[in-house]
Amino acid sequence: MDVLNNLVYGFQTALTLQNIYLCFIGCLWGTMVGVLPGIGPVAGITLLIPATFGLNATSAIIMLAGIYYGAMYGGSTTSILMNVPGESASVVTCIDGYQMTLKGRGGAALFISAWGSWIGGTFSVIGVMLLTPVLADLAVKLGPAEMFAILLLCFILLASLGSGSFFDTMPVILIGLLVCTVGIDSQSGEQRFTHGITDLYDGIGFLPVGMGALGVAEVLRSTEENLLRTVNKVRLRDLLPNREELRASWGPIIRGSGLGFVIGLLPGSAHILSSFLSYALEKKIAKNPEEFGTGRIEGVAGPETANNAASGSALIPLLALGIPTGNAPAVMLIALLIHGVRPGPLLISESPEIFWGLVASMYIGNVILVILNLPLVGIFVKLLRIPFRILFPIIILVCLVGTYSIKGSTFELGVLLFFGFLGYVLRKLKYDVPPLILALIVGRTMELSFRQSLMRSGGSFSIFWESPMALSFILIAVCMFSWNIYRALRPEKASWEKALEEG
Amino acid sequence: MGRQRVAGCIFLFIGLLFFADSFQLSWGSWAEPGPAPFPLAVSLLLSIAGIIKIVQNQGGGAKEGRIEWRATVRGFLTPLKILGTTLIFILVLERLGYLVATLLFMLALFLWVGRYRVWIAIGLSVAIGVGSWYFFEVILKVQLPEGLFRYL
Repeated sequence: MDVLNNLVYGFQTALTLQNIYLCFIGCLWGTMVGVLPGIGPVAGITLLIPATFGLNATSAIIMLAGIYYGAMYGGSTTSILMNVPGESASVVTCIDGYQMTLKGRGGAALFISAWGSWIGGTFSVIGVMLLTPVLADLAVKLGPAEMFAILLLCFILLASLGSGSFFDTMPVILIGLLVCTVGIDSQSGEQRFTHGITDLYDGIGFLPVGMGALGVAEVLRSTEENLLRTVNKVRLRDLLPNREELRASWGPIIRGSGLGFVIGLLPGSAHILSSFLSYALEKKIAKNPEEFGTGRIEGVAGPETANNAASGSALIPLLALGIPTGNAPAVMLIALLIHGVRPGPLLISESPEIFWGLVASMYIGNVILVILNLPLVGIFVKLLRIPFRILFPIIILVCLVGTYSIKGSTFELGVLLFFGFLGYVLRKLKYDVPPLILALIVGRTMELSFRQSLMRSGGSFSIFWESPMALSFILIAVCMFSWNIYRALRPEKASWEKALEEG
Repeated sequence: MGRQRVAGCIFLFIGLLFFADSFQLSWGSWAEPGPAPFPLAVSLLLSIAGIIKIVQNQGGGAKEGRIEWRATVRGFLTPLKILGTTLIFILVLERLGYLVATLLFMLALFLWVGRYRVWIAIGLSVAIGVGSWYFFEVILKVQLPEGLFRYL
């Protein structure tokens, strides 16, 4: 009953004219960045952060969340029509989606993709609504030792399940942890790594690092590419799937919703992983798996549903624990922090309008996205005709102004440029950059938890194994770490691993 | 040199930089840890990770992991042009003011990187410069540097 009352309260917040408008703008912008290759949801959100400065925190997060799940909808359009994934989670959609387009069934693939995305998205919103308050209640009871253990496990999971290998991701996380130590130490008041530079006393800001390492670096990388684009036209009457396609897509949509929701809770590239796993699952249980890759609707319905469900459930750890498990939630956390809101166990009790307003807006946003993505698909595809050489100076300018507007300091712009360069170099060396941002954001909490634990126990490390919860998290982390070392040292893969890969 | 080795050098450099600096911080005690132990431990781990990457790829790295330097330098040219132009923009922003600095910045990017014709580049720069100034300064009320216009 409480949930229903709170949901009504959420709809009262989300259904104001301003919030509906902002949700629409977020969904529209999200679809646009999803369609455009080279600008992902992370860059899309960072670019609009400056536009939220005049808004309250609830309206800001409603708009930014709209971009996040909107990009998942839009990403499939170019995958299906052009064989170009607009967003990394849509890579797997290219395989069967584009084949369907070549067979003249691109419209049906778009319809099923939007329909599956809506179901997956709505399913995950229900999960966010029911699970987040429970997890937040549990999190209130966590002490510093448990928090440290959770964050340690979070980093190990992030490195294990990310898109790079464990030993490629771990150093990037360590760099993020080091960057977050710059500035005045909150406990002792001592300066760390500032070298007398007054601009560094408050530490290195999340926004210049995020905008630089994700936004500017993405633009720099995209300027190297020269995409030749051929757009296939879709007419409105071609959008309707036939009875056989509808029947074949139900199973993958239901399985994709469940799979995506569970995977989304894990740290790392959950939305990408979920779409790949969903595709593998559908192929494994199909009667004729050899037909996958030739234009099967199951190869579109499953992954597209899964990545939308995963993007919704990724918000649960962010809202309940204040731990962003992916790069887009990390940027949303930055935006919330700028607005003076710290997500975590107390968010729902202290700022219910933000949590329930966001949940309600996600229901509304998912409906807006279905309306936007089906009849207006032709207009979004036309966006691809805008040359990137016009877009990139605008993106860089928005990053610069967005960073400058926080403190009015050109030093911050220097930080933005430095991390833009570092992010670009790391990408060139095939390293994943988002873990750096995640470590930067939660690194301070991790260090604080570690120090508070030792202070509470009078300097005894036993505090980490006296609490059963902390002990179990640390044990899982140690097991995963050992497993990764074992995998790195072993030259041959086990037969079951090969079988899993082939499957 | 393999890409892992280059990455290893970067990790080792950053790790050692923070490791050396950490010794100047106070240690505290186990019962009340100071600001030094955490960055010291993290920088030590990063340095070890860097050394492992360098040692692992001592033979120059696997063939697929090798960096084709000529192609890499060619690939770096456009991003370096953008980074250089942006650095100059940052340095002159407060002196020239947002409007003038942005017009010149956009013009440089459209001409030098975008390779547009002069008149098209001027048109695009004016549209983006004035449009962004109106959007940020007038609509979003962001305080942008006035620069030369301060005296008007």
